[in-house]
Amino acid sequence: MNKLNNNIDNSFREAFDKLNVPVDKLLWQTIDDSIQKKIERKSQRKKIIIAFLIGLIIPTFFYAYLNSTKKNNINSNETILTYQERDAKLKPTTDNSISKTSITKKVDDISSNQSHFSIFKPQKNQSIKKDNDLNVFISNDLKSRFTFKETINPIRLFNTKKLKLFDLLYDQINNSKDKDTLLISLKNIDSSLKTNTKPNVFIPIKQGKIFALASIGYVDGKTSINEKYLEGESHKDLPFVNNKQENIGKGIKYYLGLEYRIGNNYFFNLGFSKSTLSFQNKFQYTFNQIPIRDSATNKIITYITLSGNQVKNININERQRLKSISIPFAFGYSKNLNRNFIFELSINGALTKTTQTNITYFSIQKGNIIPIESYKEQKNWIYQANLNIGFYKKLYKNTRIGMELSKNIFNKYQSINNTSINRNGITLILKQQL
Amino acid sequence: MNEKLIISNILNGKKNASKDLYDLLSPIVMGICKRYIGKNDSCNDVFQESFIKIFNSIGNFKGDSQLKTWASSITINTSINFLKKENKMKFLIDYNNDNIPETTEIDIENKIEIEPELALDWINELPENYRIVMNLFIDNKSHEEISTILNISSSSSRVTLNRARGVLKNRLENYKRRHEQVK
Repeated sequence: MNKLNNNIDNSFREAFDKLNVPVDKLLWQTIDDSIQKKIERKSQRKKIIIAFLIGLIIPTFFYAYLNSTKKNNINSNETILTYQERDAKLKPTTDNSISKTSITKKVDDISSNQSHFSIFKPQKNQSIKKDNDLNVFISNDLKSRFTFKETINPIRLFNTKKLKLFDLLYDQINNSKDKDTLLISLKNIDSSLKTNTKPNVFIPIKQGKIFALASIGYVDGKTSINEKYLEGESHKDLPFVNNKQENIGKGIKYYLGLEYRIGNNYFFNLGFSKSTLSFQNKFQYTFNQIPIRDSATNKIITYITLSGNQVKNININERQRLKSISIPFAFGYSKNLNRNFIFELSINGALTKTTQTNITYFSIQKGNIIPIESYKEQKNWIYQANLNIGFYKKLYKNTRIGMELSKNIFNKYQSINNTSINRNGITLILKQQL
Repeated sequence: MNEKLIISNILNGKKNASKDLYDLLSPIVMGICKRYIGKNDSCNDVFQESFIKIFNSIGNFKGDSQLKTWASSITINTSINFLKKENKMKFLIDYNNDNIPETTEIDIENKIEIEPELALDWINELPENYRIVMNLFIDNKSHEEISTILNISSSSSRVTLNRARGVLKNRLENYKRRHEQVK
């Protein structure tokens, strides 16, 4: 059967060749939304990969760099004891004489010095004048990173080889500016430990540490109805008979920044962040009273009660997509819970500029979403503040990974449709000390 | 606008390029959807799904055929998949080869020019199985291809097509008669 010879088929074939069915313009909006979503998902996937790569590469690079610097600075014969080894060696000699807290404090203090002061095991050909004498290595690079709070008082260090504490005088360091090593005399202070009083240890005040931060986070959001659907009144000024709102907002944010440590417990950070939020909202409101305002002061004088058909029933579905870039900053408090875990509490602020906002109002008929009204908003500013609680784990000496919970406490977002947006979220953060 | 230019604009991520492609193809795609799915709410769903597929695979279009032909084949596949998913194919009867009566091909004397909208109405009024087979045949699928797509024998495809032609023949002849009377 030749498929081209039949006149019935050909009549229809020719008719359908000319068939041009007009298409509802609103369908384009739905298709465009789906395409944009797909493009966003793709680009988000790319950004996640890039953020993780940056998060991995930067810390790895600095870790490798710091390790190589340390190796160059340390003599190969040097006795470097690990924290655990020191602890194990220290324990038998001190368990009976001082409290555990006191020891932990001492070892922590000493540990903080350890990266900057290394104690040499004397080389075989090196003559030692006294039994208590020891070589201390202080590189110029490390010296430059210290300022001394107490220039008169000595810096107390721990001799891991002899398991003794000794004092290093500032003058001794100052006089050794041109030398890499310094021969000092040990001072036995076992007797002071036995008194079980708080040890008189002077810690060098380090210059603020700087961390590089990379984070990726989940954010949720909440938005309120456009006031034009509430007769121009704000939500709080209307007494509702029915006040129902279903709100699903979710998105993702990426952040890169720097953190400056002030002392051991406080920090300040500043960075750059990019985020995307999508909302699906369903507002179902009924109100039968509208306020009457004083024309001069705009204050509510009284309410008029509506009846019958005048009662307002609002049933609005809304979709919003919000893309933004921001400069977040934070000030916070940090506390070491133990050797590995750190707790942080911070107040975060952000100055955000929306780069794209698509708002679509739609109705659902027979399960199909029919767009009613749709527009793109101009660029806009958002000011917000969040309270963050975070827990971090030390991965390496200078690397921390953690999770932060964020709760929105202040938000000022005045969009074209007068909606406000609150954001909460969970963020995964990688910090690398520079 | 030139098809190639539109495609190149889309691939280069130019703004509004997608809309240009949509404006070019949407009447054709919607026509196919209406022919296969009928004039109902599902038609818009299939239309949207077809377009999303077209946009997603535009990078694979090599220009071997016309863009409209390529987009049509995507829309036809999407429509058939939708009908399969919605179990609309249950009306397709796979006639046993042995029992198929040998019938002569139903035809009319000459081709008749009909308005596209009227042709669409007539096709939509056909029973579901007639409509699907007739549409596939109009879209230049052979009986072997139709049998593979619909999972029926090619003889069943022939019988169904001939019965659809029978219904349409009456429509065409009545239309021709009325047309001649008016003249």
